[in-house]
Amino acid sequence: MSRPSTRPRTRTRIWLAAALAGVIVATGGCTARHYQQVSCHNNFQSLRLLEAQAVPSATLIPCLLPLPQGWSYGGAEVRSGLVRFWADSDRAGARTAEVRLTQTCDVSGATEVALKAPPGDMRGYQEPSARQPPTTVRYFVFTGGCVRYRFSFTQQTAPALFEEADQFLGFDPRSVFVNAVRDDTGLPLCGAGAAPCPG
Amino acid sequence: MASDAAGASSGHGRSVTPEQGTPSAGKRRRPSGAPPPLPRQLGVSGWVWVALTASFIAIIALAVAFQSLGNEFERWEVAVLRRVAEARTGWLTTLMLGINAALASRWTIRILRLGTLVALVGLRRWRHLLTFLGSVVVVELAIYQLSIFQARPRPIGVRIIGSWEGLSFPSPPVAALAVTLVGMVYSLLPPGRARSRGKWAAGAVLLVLGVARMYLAVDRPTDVLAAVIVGVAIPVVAFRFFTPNEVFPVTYRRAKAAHLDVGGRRGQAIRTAVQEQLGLTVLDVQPVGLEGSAGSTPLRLRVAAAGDEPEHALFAKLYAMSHVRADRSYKLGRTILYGALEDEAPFQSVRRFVEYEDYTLLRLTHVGIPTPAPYGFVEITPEREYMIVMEFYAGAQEIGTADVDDQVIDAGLLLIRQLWDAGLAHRDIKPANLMVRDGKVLLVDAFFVQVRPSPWRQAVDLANMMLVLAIRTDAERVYRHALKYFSADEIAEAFAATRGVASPTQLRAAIKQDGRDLVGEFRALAPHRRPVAIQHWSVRRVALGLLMLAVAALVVLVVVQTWTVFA
Repeated sequence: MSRPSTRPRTRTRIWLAAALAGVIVATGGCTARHYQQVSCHNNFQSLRLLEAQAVPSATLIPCLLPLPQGWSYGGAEVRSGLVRFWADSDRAGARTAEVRLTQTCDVSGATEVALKAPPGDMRGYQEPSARQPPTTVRYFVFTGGCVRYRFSFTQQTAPALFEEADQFLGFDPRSVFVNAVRDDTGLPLCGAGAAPCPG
Repeated sequence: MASDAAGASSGHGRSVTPEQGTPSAGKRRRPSGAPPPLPRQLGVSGWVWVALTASFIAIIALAVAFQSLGNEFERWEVAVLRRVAEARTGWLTTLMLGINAALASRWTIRILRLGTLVALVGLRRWRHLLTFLGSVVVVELAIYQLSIFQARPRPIGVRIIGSWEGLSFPSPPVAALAVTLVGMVYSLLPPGRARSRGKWAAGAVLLVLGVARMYLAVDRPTDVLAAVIVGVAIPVVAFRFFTPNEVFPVTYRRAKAAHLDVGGRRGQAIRTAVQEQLGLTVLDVQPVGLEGSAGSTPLRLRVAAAGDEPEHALFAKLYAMSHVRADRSYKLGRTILYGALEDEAPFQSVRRFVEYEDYTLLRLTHVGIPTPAPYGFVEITPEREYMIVMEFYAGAQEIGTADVDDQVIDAGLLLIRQLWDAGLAHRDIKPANLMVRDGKVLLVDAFFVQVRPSPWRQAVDLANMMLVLAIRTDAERVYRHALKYFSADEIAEAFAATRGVASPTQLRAAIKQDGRDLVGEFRALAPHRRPVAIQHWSVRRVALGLLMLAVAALVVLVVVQTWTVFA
């Protein structure tokens, strides 16, 4: 059986194939995930455990406190050696505030700032604010880890947003997760605060 | 299928009158409960994948339903990983890190996928290409959604020494590599030894990557197993469903030499079916004219001498579910692109499909149209595979290569006149479907024949026949002969109805190759008539178009929602 002529076969297939190929190529390298929000005090959230596994040396794990009105959770990326999550603002745009946890940071260009009631041995640093584009970068350095907290505005350009963003970054001690996992499974959450792991 | 029939060595017509008296020798009624000629079988690999998929679903369901069971499973898996970790040594760790970096890299996957895409485009294997791309998209989406649903962290209780990304179940790099390798195997390697070796090689590569990732404690055994199941099962099902070997063979030979899978169990089933159901002994089954037939598997059967009938050839067309699906999507596409030009109701089963062609053949024969004598059809696998059998034209030549004289022109035009008078349309008039023997024009391929067609379709049949004849002669001569069978107004209507897509692709290509503006010449010869619109608008067409757009938008939305980095 052969087909009569009105079949727009080859051209349609080529376009369809090109579109699908484009999707595959374009999306192949994307890493952001629509994970649940990394909420503080949620010790059994898989993403929090994954954070603790990504930078096992970190004694503190960053998280988001309840977000003020006008802010929303944007997304997260977690891989070995790096945790990154961000919040969007309905006034300043997407990915306005970004949190990045690594084992170490280069704070040589930053100035140490005093922190109000810091957890553990945490010390705070702030880079000089950039004007174009307006950016604020802060560092929170603690045993085994460092959090870089970046806003895409400054205290001068958006004081209200600055005040809000300053409030919703929180930290949970890693020991909380270590204990929760041990109680739940009897296994150590390898890294800081846990029993040595084989391998 | 014209080229199939050409060059046959013998031909024997058959009366359409039902047989009387005792059944022919060799015929056998299949008793209730007895297996058909080709029982439907999943095969060993099919059952293995069914079992693995069932296990996979059971594991997920149990782990989700019972937290304590999930913890128990975690402890068991960690115990395995710990034992593996105890075997870590310097050189082995370096090797495993290298394997993981090479095989789990997005760049490796991208290169393999792009290489496959380029190869498939180069080979013009569009159906395989779309199936490959579709499988990749579905696997990526499935893995992503499963990982979010299961939300499983990396292995706990053992030191992870490799790089990783995101949640662990199912392992995304293993699944990505699995779907890519399986897609390559099914779209690039011909069935048989090459594909079998390819499968083993793909399996070995996946095994190596899985072992490496477990050695590095990046993935648990079930992370790897689930990824392999999803990454293999989806493309295997997709390729078997959309590109069955029997219909879309992967071959690197010239198209004419493309051999379908009619030599193994199916070949034997064909012999058995023809023997039992038609009482004919098949000596040989050969695929023929594959390049001219996308909607069925055309075959030439060599039949043993019986009684006073010498050994001769028969023509057969094997139909499977894939042909029904292809017909369905073809009609849907036509409805959206042109509206209901004619009957666009799809067939619901292979049986209906083959019954229809059997009916049209009988109908054509009944009204005296020179077409292959029908022998009926046989059941190969109930509701899945049927084969229609008909006369094989002996000594006939395709009209595109035959001498076309006044006798042939008259025969061709008379054939259309007969179709019109009988209230029929062939709907696929092109050189490949018109054979010439002893000055007579023989019509083949009755699948698209329609009873009580639209006047538009009948007019198109006439125009296409005149174009076929003019390619071998000239427009003026054909027009002059046509006036013997049709009025000038009817010819004007034919060329007002025939534009571009109304002619079969092969005919359009032949006209283009000819170089003359034959349609323009015919229009100049016939009385002026305004073109007949081929765009028909209806509520159904609009609704279908909107539905397709909505589905496409939904797919795009899912992909964007899933993968886009919001920045």
